[in-house]
Amino acid sequence: MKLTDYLDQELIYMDFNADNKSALLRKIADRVSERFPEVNRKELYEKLNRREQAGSTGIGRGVAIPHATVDGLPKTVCMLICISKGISFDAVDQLPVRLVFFLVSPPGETGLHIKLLARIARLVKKAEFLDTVATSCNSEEIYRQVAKEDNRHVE
Amino acid sequence: MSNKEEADMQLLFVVVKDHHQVEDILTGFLELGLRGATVIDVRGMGQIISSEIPIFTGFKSLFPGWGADTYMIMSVVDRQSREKAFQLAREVCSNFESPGSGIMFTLPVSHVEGLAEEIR
Repeated sequence: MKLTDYLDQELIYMDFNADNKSALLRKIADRVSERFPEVNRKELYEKLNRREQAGSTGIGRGVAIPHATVDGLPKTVCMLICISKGISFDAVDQLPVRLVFFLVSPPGETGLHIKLLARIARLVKKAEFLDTVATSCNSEEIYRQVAKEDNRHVE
Repeated sequence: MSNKEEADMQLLFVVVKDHHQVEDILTGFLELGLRGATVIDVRGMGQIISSEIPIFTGFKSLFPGWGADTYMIMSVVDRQSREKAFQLAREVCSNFESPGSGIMFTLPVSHVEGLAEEIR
């Protein structure tokens, strides 16, 4: 399973501007519904919010993986968002979040959703990957890094 | 489950000394689609010998990782998942090369019931 099957360069956002977690989730829902008009923006935002209320998806070291399943989506999609100034995310280590992997799936793709969550969780444990993303200044470079990790990854 | 499928089953044991390794292995199992594993807090021989049998206290350096917590992960894996699970554990445990980095082994399973299906 390759992350690049679900993430394309257009879904990598550099220096995303959001002041707080709620604003970030709202902007993510906006972006998804712009790209996939069948997705109800409000429904997605509420689902993301509910998930965060159940427990922050800020997994530490400046990374968060908000995720949801939503109707109307034609396929599972992953977005990568860089927030250079960092935002408070109630992360497990209380550090501000600077890198967001967002994952959204249509209902019925739960298995794939779980596998991708696991894949991302393992990827962001790699200090080398996080360092490269932190110092990259464009989406092309970050995409190349994800692809490189994909090729190295044992399937 | 057919007799042939049962014949392909193995019980995988991975013994590690770091809770982060447990998390990494279980997360990796999910990625592989495995959704069943049991984790037990265990104590290694070195841990008991060096801490509970005073005469051997001076030899604790003979037992790598003697003072650490130890965890045993067990999972029944089929032929298809087995090699991937081995590879994952090797990756997490630095190929089991350094003393005390962990142990991995399997035993054949002759019969199994109640096994959760893999995540598809």
